[in-house]
Amino acid sequence: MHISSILPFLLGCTVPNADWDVRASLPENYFPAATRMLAGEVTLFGGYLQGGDTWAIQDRTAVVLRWDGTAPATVWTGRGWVVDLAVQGDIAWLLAGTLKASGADSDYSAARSLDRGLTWQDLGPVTVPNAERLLVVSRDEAWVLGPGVLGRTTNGGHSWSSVVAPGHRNSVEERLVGDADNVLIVGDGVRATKDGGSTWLDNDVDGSHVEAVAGSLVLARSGGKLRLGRMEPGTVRWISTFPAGLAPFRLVASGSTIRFLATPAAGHSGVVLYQSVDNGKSWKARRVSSDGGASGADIDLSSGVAMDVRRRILSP
Amino acid sequence: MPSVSQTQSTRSAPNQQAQTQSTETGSSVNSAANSSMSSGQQSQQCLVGNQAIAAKLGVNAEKTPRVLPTPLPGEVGTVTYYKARYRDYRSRHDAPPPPDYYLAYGDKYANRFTTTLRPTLSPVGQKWVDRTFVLLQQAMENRLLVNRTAFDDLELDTNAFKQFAYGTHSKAYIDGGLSTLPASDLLKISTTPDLGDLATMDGVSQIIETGAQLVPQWGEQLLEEAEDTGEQVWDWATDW
Repeated sequence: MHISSILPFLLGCTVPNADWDVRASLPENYFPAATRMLAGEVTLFGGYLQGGDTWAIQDRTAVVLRWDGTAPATVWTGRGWVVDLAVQGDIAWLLAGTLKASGADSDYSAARSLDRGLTWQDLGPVTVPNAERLLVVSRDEAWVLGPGVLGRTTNGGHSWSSVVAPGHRNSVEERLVGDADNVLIVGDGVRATKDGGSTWLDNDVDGSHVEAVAGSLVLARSGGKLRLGRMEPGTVRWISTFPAGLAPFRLVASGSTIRFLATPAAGHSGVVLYQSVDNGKSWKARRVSSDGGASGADIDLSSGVAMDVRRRILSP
Repeated sequence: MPSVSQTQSTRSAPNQQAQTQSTETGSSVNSAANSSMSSGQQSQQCLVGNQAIAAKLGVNAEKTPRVLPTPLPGEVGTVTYYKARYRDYRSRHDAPPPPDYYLAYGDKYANRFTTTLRPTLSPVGQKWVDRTFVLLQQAMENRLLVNRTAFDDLELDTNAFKQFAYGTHSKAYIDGGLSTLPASDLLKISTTPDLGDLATMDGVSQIIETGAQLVPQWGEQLLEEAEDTGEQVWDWATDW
């Protein structure tokens, strides 16, 4: 018996490994910011290539790599690093950062692809300070969220406007999610707008902290528990409970199939993939040997992609 | 479309003065708020950030302007880095407590690895400790540098901070030169006294996991050495 087959059990991890294989390799000096699957088995990896051997910020090159099942290809590069990557259908946007001349904090810019990441156009500066998270709604509309800030463009990045929403903006605790005609802020409950932020509808989801949303399904934390629930008018119906140490970051659902990715408790490497095919009545959990936590993996309804510590691409 | 309450409700938040919002369509407050972002509004954003922090801490925002974390490039690569980060946090926040990673994990490991482990390692192993040290701390410092406000928010959430910090470990071990270590050094790393008495054992387990993934034959060597040294390694490895 090879030790590598029993290591997960020796090391306290009792979740079986997912049956994912090495498909390709990314550059060894690649550091992920976001991994996004598009339809048609295309995945975009956004982050930076680290030059030198001391991890100095000045030695970073922002990069987006595109993988379609063959060898990954570099499709965009720039100064600095990719902060976030967002996709909507065939459209992809990236948010890039460069260190300010003062040596602290960043200036931001955006770029866009309309052909599933094959070609990119630089869109100019993003005049929203401290932007951390990006959401793309359409070809010309995108949102950014950061500590204390929420901003939006509706003209392809030509200009950006501040948006006010209930509550405090905190990019550690909140995420932006697109859902049909709505833009959602997910965190302290769910807040939804379908008019660009002029008005907001609010669901406090039983006072819980929401980690991920897919349609009416939420993964939320309250009372020390992580639970999956279905939002209904004025309430939420809880369906399943999961280990409290999990930190989910991607939820997808259609019909009776529900899947989500989560990072395990801090210190354990990899991510965990949970899947149900009976509307959450029963679950299978599989461990994926992924590096970079939420930055290095993504799933859709039937497949998934992850990057391991050696920068190899893993997929079923 | 998520099912939100059918009545438009405003989630009230304390100390939201300039940012008071109504959810009624066309309100003048919202119209004023939905204006182009200029550099002059950055101070307003700081105010919002202050209000967010103040709300978290239950204090009046206007009396507590947000003080951002201080970059500490001169501390990177030193055994005192994590204590310095801890002190910087305490200089800015009375509550909540600093991320427990700083002292319970970072500082503890820094001392264990440098004073207890390093002298026992081969020259190659000692270089690995030195390099990994720098990389782990540089990763933390870089996160601060790219967005000091976001780093401040991260520090205020001890679990998120721990998740971030541990997320840098595996690559730091690799880039520090883990693949150059002899199996005997790997065994010493995994059996250094007191590294196993913490929940942070997870961090050490990453080394073994990373090592086994990187160099499969280590697994065999480790197994053989463990059999030679008897129960000690297995007791440690299975003592969860």
